Amino acid sequence: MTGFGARLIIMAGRLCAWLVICVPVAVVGVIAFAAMEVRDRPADISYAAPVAMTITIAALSAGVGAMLGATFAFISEEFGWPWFARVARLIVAGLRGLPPVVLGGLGWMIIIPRTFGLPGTHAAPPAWQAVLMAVTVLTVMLIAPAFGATMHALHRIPAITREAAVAAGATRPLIATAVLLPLVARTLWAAMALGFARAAGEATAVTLIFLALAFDQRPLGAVVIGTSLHGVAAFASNETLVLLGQASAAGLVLIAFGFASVSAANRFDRNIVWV
Amino acid sequence: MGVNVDLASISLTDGLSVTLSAVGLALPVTMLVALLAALSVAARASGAAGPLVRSAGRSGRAAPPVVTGCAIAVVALLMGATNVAVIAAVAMAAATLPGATSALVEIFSSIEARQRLYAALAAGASPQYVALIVHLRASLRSVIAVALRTAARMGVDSGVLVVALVGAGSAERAAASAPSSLDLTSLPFAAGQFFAAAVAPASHEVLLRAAMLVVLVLVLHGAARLLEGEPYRSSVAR
Repeated sequence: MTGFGARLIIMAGRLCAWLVICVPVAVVGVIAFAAMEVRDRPADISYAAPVAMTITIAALSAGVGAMLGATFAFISEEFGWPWFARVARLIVAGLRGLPPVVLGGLGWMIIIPRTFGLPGTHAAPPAWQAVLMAVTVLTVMLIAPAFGATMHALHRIPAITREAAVAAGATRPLIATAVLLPLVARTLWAAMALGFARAAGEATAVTLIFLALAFDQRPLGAVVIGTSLHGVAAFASNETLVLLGQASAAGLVLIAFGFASVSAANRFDRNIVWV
Repeated sequence: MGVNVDLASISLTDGLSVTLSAVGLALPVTMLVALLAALSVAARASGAAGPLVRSAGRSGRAAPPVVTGCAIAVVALLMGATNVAVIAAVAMAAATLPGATSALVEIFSSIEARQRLYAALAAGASPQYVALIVHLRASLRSVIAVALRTAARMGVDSGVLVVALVGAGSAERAAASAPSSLDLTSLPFAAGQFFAAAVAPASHEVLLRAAMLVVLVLVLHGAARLLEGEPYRSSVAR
């Protein structure tokens, strides 16, 4: 490669690297700008209930989802049942293929079964059903990444650890629970933290579920989309930036949750594989 | 732009051309930028940006797609941008760029990639040659797998698209000084599916569209797995 060509490639690479850094910074900057634009205007949305609901739903689904994913990974990897390993991987691959909007649609049909085929004939179910369904849907969404994170953590453990335990006469269940589980515990905590960030920021599935109730106190992600949809439906165009500004304020709270969770996850396990 | 949808007019082909246009626009740009950035980081030619790129990838998990969509909506509204495909493409690219770059950096920084790097350097190759030829040729299947997964995420991420298109719709309304009605045929597939599900979840057409989304993701992930191989090495036989 010529010197000029190499320099050109290196310069393009550096520019692209800075572009990658600038994208999240620009996103935060723009929503901070939009939120500041409406700072003197009284908020049409009370954020206390959405924040409390977001924390509740995200924490429950992150905890349950991470535990289920880790359990699947442990049983399929460490208990010596090849058939179970194959079934678990098939299930996880299937879960990975479900987009959140489809999960939200399924949740809608479950909490309002009569909606399916009979539109407009249902009575609104109680709010706890929507919260329970949102937790269930987000739990299902988090099983696949938690499974992958636990599998990669198990593969990072040196083979000599298992060999030493086998040489000492430990059985597979004992190795899994007494040797390997403590070694991947930090990864499990990191998976829970990242699961919390993803669950708190998931908007489409939760919006669909809470739209089924026409329930005002929606979680934050649903507030962001719901407010923007309100902007779509509103006729006064000069109000749109105000509505987007309020959605941006909710977005800033979501980002704060996200950064706190990702920082916690980095403290627990910086090398976690989370996809 | 009122949510004024005539469900009888929904068809499975609605939004596909916009989706293909937007993904066709966003995916090459995203992958090219991500590839150059990741190669630059792997070859340690990016200077101070190297550690920041890794941090940006991790921080990408902190900014939910719906918030990225919100930022794009604000920009579209302020700039008066009304082209749905372009706005969708920008939103898709902004939402997936840090994650795709982070995945590529992990691939190019793996133990195997580092061994290839040192072997090539020992053979007298320049770092740039290593980055461009050795890394890229050896990791081509993994790079294509990342591109397929990125395409899957772009095609079905409704949150970012819905909110981003609010900006385009509002700009259009502001330009026309009159409310316009939402036309599902001009919305990307996932966003159209979201609106259709919100308006009439009982529609069988919506269920079919949802099934198509699932099939799309499964096909793209399946193709990525075929290229990349089994992601979880089994230790059952140990």
